[in-house]
Amino acid sequence: MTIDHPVRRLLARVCSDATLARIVDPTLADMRVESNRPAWLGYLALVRALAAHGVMSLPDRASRVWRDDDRAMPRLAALSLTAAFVTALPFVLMPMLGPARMALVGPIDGMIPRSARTAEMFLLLLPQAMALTLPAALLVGVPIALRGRSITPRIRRRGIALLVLFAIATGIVIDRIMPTTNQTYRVLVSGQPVPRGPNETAFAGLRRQIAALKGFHGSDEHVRFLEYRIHLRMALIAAPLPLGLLALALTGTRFGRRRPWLVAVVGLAGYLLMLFPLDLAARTLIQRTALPPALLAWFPMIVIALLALTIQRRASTAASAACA
Amino acid sequence: MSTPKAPPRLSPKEALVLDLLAHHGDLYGLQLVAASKGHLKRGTVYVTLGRMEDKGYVTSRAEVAPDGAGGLPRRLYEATPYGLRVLKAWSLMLQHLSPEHAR
Repeated sequence: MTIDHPVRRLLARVCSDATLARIVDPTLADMRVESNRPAWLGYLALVRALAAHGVMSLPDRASRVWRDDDRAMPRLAALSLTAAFVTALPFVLMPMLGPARMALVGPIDGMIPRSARTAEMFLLLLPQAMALTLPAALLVGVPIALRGRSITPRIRRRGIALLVLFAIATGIVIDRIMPTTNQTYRVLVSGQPVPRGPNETAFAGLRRQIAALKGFHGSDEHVRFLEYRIHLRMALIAAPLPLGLLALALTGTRFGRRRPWLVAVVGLAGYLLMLFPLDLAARTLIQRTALPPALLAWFPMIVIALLALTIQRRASTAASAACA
Repeated sequence: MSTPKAPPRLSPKEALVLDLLAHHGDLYGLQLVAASKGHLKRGTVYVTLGRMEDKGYVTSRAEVAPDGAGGLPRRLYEATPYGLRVLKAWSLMLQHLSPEHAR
């Protein structure tokens, strides 16, 4: 008997051998026996079986992800989150120096009122800082957590899944938490109601502003600026993927395995120092040129992704040559 | 002192599968679904059987089809002696603890 079946060929790319043997093959074999029943019922049974199998095997899979490779994945997540928090501290503490000075020398004109509590200020400033440092922290977490370890396909696969989770977390911070905390901070500082700026507006609000402005003469530059803000935010949300892929690629190189701390520090500092001048340059280009705002916003991430792919390809070629 | 090993557990579906295999002999997945009179579903029977194979309650083998037959072979399921012992012990336990649930 032959085990060739188009659906089986397709599922063989994503399912394990055990899942194929225990779930897929018997269900497809049943369809052969029940030739009088419509085929879609058989495929429906297969989808339900795979869904049930996926749910049932979730705890086991989660515990394997936790244990495998000397707990590389939980270590990677914990180190990256710690690095994100520690890196966020300078961004949070800089504006908070205002209240500290006030406590010593009294109120300063236009600064934070005396009533603002330190813990409250800290919590309000943290999301904006974390939006930048959550993706960047992967440049520290990946090389340190995976130091001295070769990047196997399993580590790469699970690492990419973790990068997607970081991107989702960054998205929640940027679009759901940051606009509210930023606005609360601004109101607290000024002591009176303040209209929301672009950083204090969620995606939907920015899109509404663009739609409203587009009909007015002379609003082109402001529209382009708002479009740039939207794309920049989307690029920051997607940033864990190119940054994490770059970190994985660097960690897989001989240099990355020997000097993980150097890769981490240089990577993190390089990214954060590059981010602000590039933003400034992009704003200038929006004013002076007709370059698309999307291109300007996504340009750094595209460069980082290409760099990651190039390093990864070179490392793979070198590994293949070494094996040969 | 070593930790005592947890006793084997049997879900109602697993008990039903073992019961059917004990009474009917070796069965295919679809035959189990049909014999269960609606208690086992086509979409989940192989998930249950896979889990029972992991626990050592059942074994399976591919059907031997005549030469020239096309398509994927079906799997034939059989209760292991261990599975039957677990079923017996489980039934006894239920009988002692809650007679209304015993078969």
